[in-house]
Amino acid sequence: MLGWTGRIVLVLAILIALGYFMHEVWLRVRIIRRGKHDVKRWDRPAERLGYMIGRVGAQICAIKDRPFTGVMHAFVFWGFIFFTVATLNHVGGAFKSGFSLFGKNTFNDLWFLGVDVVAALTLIAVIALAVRRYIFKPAGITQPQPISRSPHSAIVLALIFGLMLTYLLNQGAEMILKGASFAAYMPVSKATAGLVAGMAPATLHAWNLFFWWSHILMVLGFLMFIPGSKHLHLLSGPVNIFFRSREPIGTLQPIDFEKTEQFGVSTLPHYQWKNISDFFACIDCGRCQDVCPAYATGKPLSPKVVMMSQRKHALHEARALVSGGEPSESIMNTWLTPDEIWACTTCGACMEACPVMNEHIPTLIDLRRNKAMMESDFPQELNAAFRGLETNANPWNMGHDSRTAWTDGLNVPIMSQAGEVEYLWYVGCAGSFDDRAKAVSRAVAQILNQAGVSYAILGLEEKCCGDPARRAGNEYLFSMMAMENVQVLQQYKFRKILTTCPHGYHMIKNEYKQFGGQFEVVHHTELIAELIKSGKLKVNQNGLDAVTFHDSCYLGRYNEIYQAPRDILQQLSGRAPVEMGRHHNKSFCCGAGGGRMFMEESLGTRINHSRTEEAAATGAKMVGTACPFCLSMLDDGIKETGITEKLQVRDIAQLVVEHLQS
Amino acid sequence: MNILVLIKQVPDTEATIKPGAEQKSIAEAGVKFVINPYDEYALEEALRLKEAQGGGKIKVVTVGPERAKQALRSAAELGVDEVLLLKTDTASLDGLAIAQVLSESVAKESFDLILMGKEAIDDGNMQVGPMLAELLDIPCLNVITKLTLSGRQVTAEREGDSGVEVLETSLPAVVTCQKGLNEPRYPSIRGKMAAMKMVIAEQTVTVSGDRAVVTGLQVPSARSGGKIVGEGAAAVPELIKLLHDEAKVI
Repeated sequence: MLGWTGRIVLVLAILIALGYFMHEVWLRVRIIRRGKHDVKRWDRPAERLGYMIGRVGAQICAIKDRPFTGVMHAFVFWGFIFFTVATLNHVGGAFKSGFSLFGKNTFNDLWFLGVDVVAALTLIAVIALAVRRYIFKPAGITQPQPISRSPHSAIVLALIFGLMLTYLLNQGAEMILKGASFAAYMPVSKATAGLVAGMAPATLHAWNLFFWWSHILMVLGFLMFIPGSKHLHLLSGPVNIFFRSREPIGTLQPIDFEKTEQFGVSTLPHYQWKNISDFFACIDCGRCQDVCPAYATGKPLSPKVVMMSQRKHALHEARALVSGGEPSESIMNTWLTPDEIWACTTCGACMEACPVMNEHIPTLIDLRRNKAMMESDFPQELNAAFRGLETNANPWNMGHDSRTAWTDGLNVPIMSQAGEVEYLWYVGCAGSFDDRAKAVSRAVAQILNQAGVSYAILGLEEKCCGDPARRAGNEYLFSMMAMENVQVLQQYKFRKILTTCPHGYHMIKNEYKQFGGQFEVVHHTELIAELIKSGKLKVNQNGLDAVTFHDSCYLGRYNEIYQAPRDILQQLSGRAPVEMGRHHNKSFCCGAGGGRMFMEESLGTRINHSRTEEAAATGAKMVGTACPFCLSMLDDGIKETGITEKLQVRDIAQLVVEHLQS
Repeated sequence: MNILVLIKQVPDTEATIKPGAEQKSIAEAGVKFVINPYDEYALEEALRLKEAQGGGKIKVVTVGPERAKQALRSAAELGVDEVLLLKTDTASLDGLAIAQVLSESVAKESFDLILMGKEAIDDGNMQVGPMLAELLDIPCLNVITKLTLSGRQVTAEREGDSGVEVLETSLPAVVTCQKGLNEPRYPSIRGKMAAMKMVIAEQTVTVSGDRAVVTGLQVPSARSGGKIVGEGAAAVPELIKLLHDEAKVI
């Protein structure tokens, strides 16, 4: 219990700290509120809350990709939770000796057993995290400079260390001064009591007061420090997880061209509020950067820098933003460069890895949209792709009337003459125009014919799904194509749409909904796996040597189809495929997503070479794919790195055809 | 500065061309039409000159049927000031006839610079530019890969097999554009949306179509693959025999 002077000082300190904290948090809330309203963030609140509590409480967010640091983080997190009550008791003790929020009961005793144990675990964790950060210096949290050179981590680690130490010493001293009645359930404090046991009562009392005041002042200092540092994540992180996107990774939202004159994002208020909230949730942990194919191959893009840089920008413009004014500068050029936003392959690895579920891809595409549609400023090569989509409905700008040339000599039914079918096969542009992918289309046709599947293609009514246009920021062109495609699809009778390209799969299944098209979509690997399982398709088992499988981003991370292609490979080779270092949800992009297929890769090293080397390192002689872009990129990678003797690449459908029982 | 850009609507470079009615014109069903690619360099150059000078007017004119409005709309997407269709259903091969129609229309206004592609990729005549200049009695710089304006002074470059020619003249002049002059831009979406609402002005014109006429169109026969006769000196007699008897070139 404190005297009156002590109490007044304490209350003033609390008011100042709390006031400053609220002021700084409210400033950021007001900045976020400058973003546009987004109805999609409030649906199913109970489910959102449950998900948030589970993910944060069990610390899945932190442990998932980095088990060791994640567990250390969990100690600190649980320390924080337990200490909320300890801190209230601590403050209450200033006014009433022995104040206890829970009263005196077993629950209270158990809670403080928890406090005692997590305080010790937190001390260990803080030391481990400091060693990791300052001795091992992992690139994810220390690069790139200068944006990741922040003294914040050192301050926070020191504060948490001090908090735990002063708490334990204070408890130890109290134990001696008041008799060791609570020693039984506070083993760690009992140990610290041993450290100060020999002191004269007056000295011990003075030290105790010192520990008490240092602890509470550190708590208040921490409170004031939080909003301006990346440690705001202990508030904004859970909030961000609550408001997460409930759609597949990387799904983009449409623009209502009737209602706006600004397409995409040039200045901060053009964003939806959640994009801005993401900037304040970023922790600089670098999980996204560690998995980014652009960053890994020396391109100027790092997903975390996209977040951190725009947070700096938002704070820089805070005065204008909260007073309802316009920022003094646009985001591009000062805060982010064109090379950064165009380097993204939209592979989704960053979003999959992000502990606070930030949405890097929609943010980058918003910036691309402004560049592409408002400023007509984009990599030169896209000009040809856009024109190709406009004139010939494919990004290679090949003559539209040759779209069905790949069917020559095969019996492939056309929808307009077929009547009702089970599968409308959407072949896609690659499968229609690219020589390597045309071979895959022919393989799929052969499989469908042999298994007696009822299907038809759209023929010349088929046009590009629009993925390259949308990912490259040309939403206007995409929306025209999507509307037209939905109309064409809706006039036919079929049960499901079959796609041979994961990009078409994702667009038709998840993004055409925005244009009124609700379709059930299957990928050819799913259908083939089912045909083999049901015995409609008979393959030679064990016909194939060791094989590895490259997960396509749009099939895997975007749509979580991992097993079907592996099941087929299992059937063909008699064993599970040899996995590369990065596979399933951690798979490494081939480099062609996000419209990158149609842009030059002039910065850094080549993404497809990196992936090809990883495939070759498995020792398998064959790498299977299920995406025409991946097929093309890996095939080029194999040829360019000169390992055609060691490794070959095929689509799963081609491998099946090679091992069909006649 | 007033710039006139003359464009032509032509079948897309990727379109499969088939002879149509009476084998005298191409079948248009299923064929996509675009702005003649060389005319796109002319459009881009006009836009760049206007931007560089911070003012001026760009008018785009084409001679063609109703469908040519689409080409004018594509030009309008880029942000030109005025477009005009000189409408005719006569598909004339006669460069002079087209040049005359254009010169009558153009003479009513005064242009400082007339830009157009060096040729249209469909008939490849390369005649309209020089003929129009002659009819208007102004200089013509042909097949230009670099254009610089300094006041009324025009300096242009033409790339040849053996080097670069540097040409000079003064405005007004006709300049026909070659690949390499610039990289045509992609229109902004605002430009596209504005162009959708634009009313395309048109005037009906008469083109004399009988001085040069198409008597027939034929699709070139498909290339057959090469033939390997043999290897080394032993194959020479057989090769000579085939070149003489079969290919009839020696």
